[in-house]
Amino acid sequence: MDFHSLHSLSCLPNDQKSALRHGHYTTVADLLLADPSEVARKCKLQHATVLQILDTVCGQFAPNPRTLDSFVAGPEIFTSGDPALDVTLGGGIRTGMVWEIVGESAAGKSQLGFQMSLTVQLPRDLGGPEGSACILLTSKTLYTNRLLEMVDSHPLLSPDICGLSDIHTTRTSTILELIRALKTELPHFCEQRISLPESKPVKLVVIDTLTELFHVDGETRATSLWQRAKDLSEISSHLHSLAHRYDIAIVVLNEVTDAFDPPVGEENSDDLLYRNQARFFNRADSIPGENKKEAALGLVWANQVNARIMLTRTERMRELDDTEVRPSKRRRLDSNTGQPPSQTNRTRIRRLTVIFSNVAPPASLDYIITSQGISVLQEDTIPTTQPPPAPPSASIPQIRHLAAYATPPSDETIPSSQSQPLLPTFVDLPSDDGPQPHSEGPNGENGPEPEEDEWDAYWKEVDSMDDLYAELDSSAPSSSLPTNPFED
Amino acid sequence: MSQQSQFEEEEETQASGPILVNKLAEAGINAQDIKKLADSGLNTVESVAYTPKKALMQIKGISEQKAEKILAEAHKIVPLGFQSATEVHARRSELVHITTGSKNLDALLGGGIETGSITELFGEFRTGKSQICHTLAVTCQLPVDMGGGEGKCLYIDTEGTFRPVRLLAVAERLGLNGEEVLDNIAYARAYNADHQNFLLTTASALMSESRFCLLIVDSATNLYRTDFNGRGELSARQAHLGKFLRTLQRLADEFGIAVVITNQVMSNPDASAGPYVANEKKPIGGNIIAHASTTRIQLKKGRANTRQAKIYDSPCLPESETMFAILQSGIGDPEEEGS
Repeated sequence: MDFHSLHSLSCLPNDQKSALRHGHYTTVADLLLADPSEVARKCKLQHATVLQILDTVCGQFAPNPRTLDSFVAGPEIFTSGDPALDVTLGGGIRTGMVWEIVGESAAGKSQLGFQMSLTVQLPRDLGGPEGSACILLTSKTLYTNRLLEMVDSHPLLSPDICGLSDIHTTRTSTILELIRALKTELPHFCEQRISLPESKPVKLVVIDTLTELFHVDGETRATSLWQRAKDLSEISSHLHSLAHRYDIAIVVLNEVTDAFDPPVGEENSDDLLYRNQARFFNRADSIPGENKKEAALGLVWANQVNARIMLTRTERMRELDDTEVRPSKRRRLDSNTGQPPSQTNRTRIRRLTVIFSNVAPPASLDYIITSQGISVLQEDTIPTTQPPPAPPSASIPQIRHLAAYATPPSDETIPSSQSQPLLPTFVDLPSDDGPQPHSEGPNGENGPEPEEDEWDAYWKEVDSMDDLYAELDSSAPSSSLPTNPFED
Repeated sequence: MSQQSQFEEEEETQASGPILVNKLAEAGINAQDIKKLADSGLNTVESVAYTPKKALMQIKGISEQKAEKILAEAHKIVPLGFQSATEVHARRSELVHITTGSKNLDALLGGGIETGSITELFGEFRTGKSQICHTLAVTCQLPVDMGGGEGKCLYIDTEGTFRPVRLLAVAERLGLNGEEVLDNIAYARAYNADHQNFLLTTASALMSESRFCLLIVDSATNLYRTDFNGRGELSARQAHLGKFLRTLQRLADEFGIAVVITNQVMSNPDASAGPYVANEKKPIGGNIIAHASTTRIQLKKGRANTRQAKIYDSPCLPESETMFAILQSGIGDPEEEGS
């Protein structure tokens, strides 16, 4: 609609059209974006007339309300290639959304991107939308060998139904190029694919990696941050409009920065500080050590994504039985990879956390990367502790009710939020990170479990105290709070 | 390397290599402006096309209008539309890998050091980082069918560990003429971080003149460690380092060269809390270098002259490890010890 010329509108009388032309208002966008009084001045029209013109034009373009029925066909969902991962992501990868995969180097961001760009090609009976993928690369090249390896070894994929011919790639090494690609080339390409009946429509766009474009050369100044915010908003508005117009899943890969916690004692401030809040949307915190990195690009970008998935490379290694790993479709002897991964049995366990998502609750799981791609370790999906664990929250109201006494409620809420920054000290305890896989296995998987147990025990203890009223004085909440396990 | 093969290479470069910036003259760009582009390190049309307009305008004497025109012409020559992965795969399968001299290590790397990307070697002192660099500087001159890249090598040294004697030893093992081998290696010693960055501009000019296939920076982070101190300068250091690494990646893309950088390590005080965790050393440079290097290889000391190499990060190689040996004649396999 931006490019509708005023001249072509049938709802305006000719004299008004010529007046507008006289004021150099040629498109609808020009007119709607201008200040009415300025339009009146430039076109030498009455202010009321201008308002009337605006009304008419707006009326012409106002979208008719639609009933929800028309949305039923709505977004499609396709599999990410791993059933457990699909469940965590809310059924799979949903089109019409902007997904972000954020993670440190070597966490598996590109791997997940590759895997999705193959599963997007699957026919509908296998859980795919039978689409094609576009990969926008900002710095690296496309590792086609790796794609082929996944096609060969992943049980869902086979060369007949997916392959390199339906993955398209272009290089966008600057912000301007990316914007141009999103604004002109990609829509053009999507239209082209739709118009050719035999080709698969674009259903997935991967940007690998967005952050690369925003590394600044000089010092970070207010102006450079302002510019970054502006660029990010422009990019994301293009992404969202693409996602909706063509029903595409957009996957943006993002990098991390190291998170520095404020010195102990300063975090209690009642002010709504960005750095205190940011940990809830920039960091994952389901297992010890996971919260040491935070997503790059700041608040502006965090507000633009519909789902943020964080990948972390943990220190945990484990000997894996063949039973735990998804059975391989076929054994391949590849001359290129001298040592197939099966020889080195100790596999690094990585962690995937859905920090927030439109379509799924926060959750996290352990995964490994094999020749097939991302493979979730079975039955490891546990809810994250980000919303405080159930037992305490269930009993908190009760206590608070009792505790209408001396302690103001604001104090009451501090422990749960405080436990987050304190976690790291707790987690560096040896039990977790040891390379002794067998003893560590169950513990390592359920990192937060011990914490919940502490809470359970504590709340049980509290509940069992019949004379709680008597026992509690104003100092009780702070002194008896289970900070001990964290203090170490 | 004989004169004959030198000549052949040069012809090949003309056919499929980078398009020199002079090509823009045909598109009606003023010769003086082209010289200005070349002087600021933009020697190929690709590099011009990938440069943001803002950066072009910073070159003295290039106005916004001119920059726009230059970019428009460069984009005409360098296609920037969508390609199918099949085409990319066809191009990638022609990609040259440079042998490290050790069969084990080559197998680990999927054939050797990949051209067109950044490979990072990190490890403690005496784990063989510089030795691998020395061997590569020679093997890259081998013909393609012998695992080389048929090109020259550019060696940026920041630690003062460059030893031509080692190169001669490797040359002797490969049966190459020692003098020619040394002639084909351009060496520069960098003295500070800015200087190190500046050398890349010179490198770009050298590479547009003759066929290079390898750029070594040994080590990439040493000078940053000394030039920038403390957390106060951390952000400045990372930005500077990021710029350096991006220029490296640009060179790798434009000229199709392999870039090998070495990195030092730091001990990780956080990780040593547990009794089981061996004091794992972490590469320095933080997230910036971690994201920038395509393949990261961790080196560890093994028994006697053997060393362990482990894939730490790679988009296409599984995490695995192997052993290699440092021999009198460069990098080799441990079995060769006796011979």
